[in-house]
Amino acid sequence: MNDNIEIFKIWAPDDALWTQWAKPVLFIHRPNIICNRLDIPELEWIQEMNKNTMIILDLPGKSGVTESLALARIGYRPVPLYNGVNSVSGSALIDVSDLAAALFRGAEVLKKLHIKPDAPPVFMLDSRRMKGIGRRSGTFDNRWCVFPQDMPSAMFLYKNGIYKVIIRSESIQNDLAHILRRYQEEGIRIYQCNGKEIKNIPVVKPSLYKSLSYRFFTILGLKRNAAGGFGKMVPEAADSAAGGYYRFG
Amino acid sequence: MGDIERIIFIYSAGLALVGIFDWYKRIKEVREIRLNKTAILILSFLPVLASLIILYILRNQASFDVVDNFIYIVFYLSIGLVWIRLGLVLIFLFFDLSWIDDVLNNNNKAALFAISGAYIGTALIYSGANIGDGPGWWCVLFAGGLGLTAWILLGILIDKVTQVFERITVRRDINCGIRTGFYFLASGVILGRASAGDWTSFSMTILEFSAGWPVLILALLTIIIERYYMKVSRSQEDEHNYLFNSVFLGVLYIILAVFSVVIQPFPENPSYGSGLKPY
Repeated sequence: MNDNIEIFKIWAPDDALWTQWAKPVLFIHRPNIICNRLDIPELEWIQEMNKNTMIILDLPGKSGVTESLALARIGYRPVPLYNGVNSVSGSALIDVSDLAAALFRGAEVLKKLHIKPDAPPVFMLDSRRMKGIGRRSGTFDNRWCVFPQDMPSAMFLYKNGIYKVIIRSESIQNDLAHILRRYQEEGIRIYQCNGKEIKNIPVVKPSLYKSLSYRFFTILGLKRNAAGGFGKMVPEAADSAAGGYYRFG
Repeated sequence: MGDIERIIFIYSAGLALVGIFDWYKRIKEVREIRLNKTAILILSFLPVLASLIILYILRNQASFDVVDNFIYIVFYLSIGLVWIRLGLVLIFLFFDLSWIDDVLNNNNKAALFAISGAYIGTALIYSGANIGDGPGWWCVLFAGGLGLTAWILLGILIDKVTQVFERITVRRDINCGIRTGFYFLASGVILGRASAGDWTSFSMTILEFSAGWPVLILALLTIIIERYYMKVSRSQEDEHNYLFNSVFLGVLYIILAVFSVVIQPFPENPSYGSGLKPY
């Protein structure tokens, strides 16, 4: 556990401004596969760090880690927001073992980079987070969502000189729209990048936007992990130890 | 103890134990990853404090057939602990404040203060509902249910006008969290008092619940104050300068609540005798 925490601290050092949003979930267990080599890409869509731009990488699996490291090389601070637990027993709805392995390997790369404590952030999400059909008996349901509470508020961004957000993704997922819409309403400009070009986008108001019960009902369909984040075995139908009365609150 | 009471006792004691176990288990497991000692200390202390408040009321102000009866004291304490856990679910559902997500997982100090106030607030409402003589457990649940409903409705109303919960959970505004925590506590005191008193009938309980009217003044005051801070926080560079003011206002809420409770006598039903003990 101590080694894992040290690796997490490389991704989320105490002195970095954005550390308070980093999630330690994928650092709890050591990944059961080893990532021997990380191919960090040359990014066509961005050449230099812009102090007033925040980036959200909503990419599948380890590609989010490799792009975040590419952005770290030009001065951005990667912040892992992955909130789905890595199943140690297999049969997970979303296989995050490659992602976890890339994070552990990526820490070695990140350690060598000297990123300023107030460098603009790159928030890392796994675009597969809600893929798959949940609650199948005998599977480890580690689907998860990102909520407005998981990312800095528009006011915090403004106070730290950020006026522009670039989403590096193929599409804007519903959970992310709840966050981006808030930013847009506060005057932050939202851009989407497909890996080649960047375009300004309007964010449509998602359903249950700013509803107090949105998070409650979303979490109702997911499985919380006792140590934080999401991920739990879905018991067989006949298993009386299903429990779960106290998942909420 | 009748059959229904026995069944409720078994279920509530079981759920209370599971709830307490789950509470401390989550705190322990999260502690290994996030070392926020303040949050862990406060969260660990909350069930103890809530239990002590309920126990004090049960031993000193509850119905004549409860105060000296160990079994009934455990019975009502168990219901109280389940009540608080249910309260936490309702707080998440209606206020979007989650002790697991915001406090434990997101390490949000603003939510810690608000949820701590809410936790003790729900315990105070339940404790208030136990004050006075009555024929059974359902009187406590009915009177306390009125208090809890009013408490939730006022919370929703305050949020509609001031977006306090968004400011606590998304903006992590510690001062707003402190003030809201104190508001929850103070409104819990007033609504606990409104739920208290000897039992006469359902309709009389509703009528007597109007003794909680000062909570409307408290809610109005909270709305005015939060509207002011909404404007201030947008224009100021550092909203953390308002810590002293927020604590001061919180203490003011509590003084207002205690004063409103002290000036009003508890409703008594002569058929039970003059059983209520003075403060």
